[in-house]
Amino acid sequence: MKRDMLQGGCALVVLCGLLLAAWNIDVHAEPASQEATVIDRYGNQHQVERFTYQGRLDLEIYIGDQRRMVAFQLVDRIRFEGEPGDEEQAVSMVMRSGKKESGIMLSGGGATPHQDAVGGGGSGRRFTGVTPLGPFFILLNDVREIILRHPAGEEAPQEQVLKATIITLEGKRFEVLDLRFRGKQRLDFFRGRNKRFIPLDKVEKIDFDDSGAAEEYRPITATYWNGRTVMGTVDASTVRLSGETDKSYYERVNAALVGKTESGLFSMGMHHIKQIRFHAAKEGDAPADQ
Amino acid sequence: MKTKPLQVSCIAWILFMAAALTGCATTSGSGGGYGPPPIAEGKGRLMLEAGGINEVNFYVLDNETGDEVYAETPRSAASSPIGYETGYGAMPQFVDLPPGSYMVVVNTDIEDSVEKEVEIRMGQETYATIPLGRFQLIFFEGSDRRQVPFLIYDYNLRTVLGRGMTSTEVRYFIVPTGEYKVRIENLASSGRDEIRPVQVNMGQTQNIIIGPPPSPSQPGEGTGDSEQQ
Repeated sequence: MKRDMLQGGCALVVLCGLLLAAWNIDVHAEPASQEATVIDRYGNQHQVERFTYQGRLDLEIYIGDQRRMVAFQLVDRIRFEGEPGDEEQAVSMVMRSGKKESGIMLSGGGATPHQDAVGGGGSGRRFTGVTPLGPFFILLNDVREIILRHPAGEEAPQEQVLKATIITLEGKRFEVLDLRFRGKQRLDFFRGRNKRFIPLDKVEKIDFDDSGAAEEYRPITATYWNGRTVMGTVDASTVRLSGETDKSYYERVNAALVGKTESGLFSMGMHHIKQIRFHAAKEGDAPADQ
Repeated sequence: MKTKPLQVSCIAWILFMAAALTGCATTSGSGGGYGPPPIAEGKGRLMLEAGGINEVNFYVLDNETGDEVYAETPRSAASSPIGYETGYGAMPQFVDLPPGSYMVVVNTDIEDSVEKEVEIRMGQETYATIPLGRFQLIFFEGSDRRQVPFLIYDYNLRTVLGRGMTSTEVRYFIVPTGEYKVRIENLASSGRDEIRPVQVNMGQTQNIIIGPPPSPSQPGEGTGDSEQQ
């Protein structure tokens, strides 16, 4: 009888093991989520996991009047300087690289939806996540500071300051620092009707085809540092769209590429460019430009 | 006295059968015509959870090589005059990939894409949650819907993020969750210049109607023709 009981027990143990193994196989571990300490305007601290801003892992910030999407991964802490009722919150950010940035985040979008809108709406700009007490959300207006917690020992990703020589169709050359395409360090292009991007920090040069200088889309050939080449077209339209303001038209057409030169700020439209030559990040990494 | 071991054996058999059935359900339950097919041998499955939107343009990059390993472009451009919803995908988009680390890039109808890093494991389904929402802009001129181009701005109207074209059919524009504004300047035809805020939450749909929609005639109301007569 004891032997039977022992056999039954063993069978149970084996089955439990099998079930546990099946459980382990079926339940896929969630990828590491963003953790943060949120301090509200009353000084309360909240330890938040799966921290997002409106479901996203980046922030929409205006730095020097330019819209940028800043990934949580790059940020160490953010402080909101404005008053709760402000439409725009002045924010100061300390990046993981130690760099400090200040800008503006919009917080006044939480008003009731327009009378013509049906469904959705009423979202407000909010941070969401999970605390040990349950689901968590806080309106952007109510936050004083956010300290983002990153995995210990993880190498802090750094935004490279891109240096490039821009050559125009007229043959003019500009040495540009901190080059960005519409606020990003990547160039959006089209391969057929598929939209793709080229990370500018991995590219040696981008050649623009002459033949398309007056067309809406200009063919380009990008050569990566590893020798790989990518071809496609970029939007270089100079046609004014109905609904565009003077400022937005100017920015879209004449300030697609922005940066800094020795004499001040730099901006240029895609329809002017003949070639962009990037400088190697470090001396010796790649052949020097020119 | 013999009942106890019997009970234990019975329980063991029940558990065994339950485990076997569960195993069957996970491996072949989707192969019966409903749901996605079984995962290809030696691969894992990436499934997109885009807030109930089962038709998005996306591609997958291998994190090690940077190469594009898969792409799907079922939707036409937002500014295309021929685009409209042709159907509704019954299940989320998915792709079977060899195990490894990948980046999924989902293109939207504005210049912001949504990117997500995923780890694919053999024989497993990995869900990538993509924070997307959609809105529909309906433009009426008189009592008819019209095709009119419009612009999608950021909320404070500083940057043009994309352009679109309204449709006489049902047509949704897919954007990352957030707040935007749309502007229709149609001075030549209808004399309208309208700016509307759009608040997009994950999985929610917002319909914005510009212009007077056709009102259903009320019972007892005359058509107007009879009064003239």
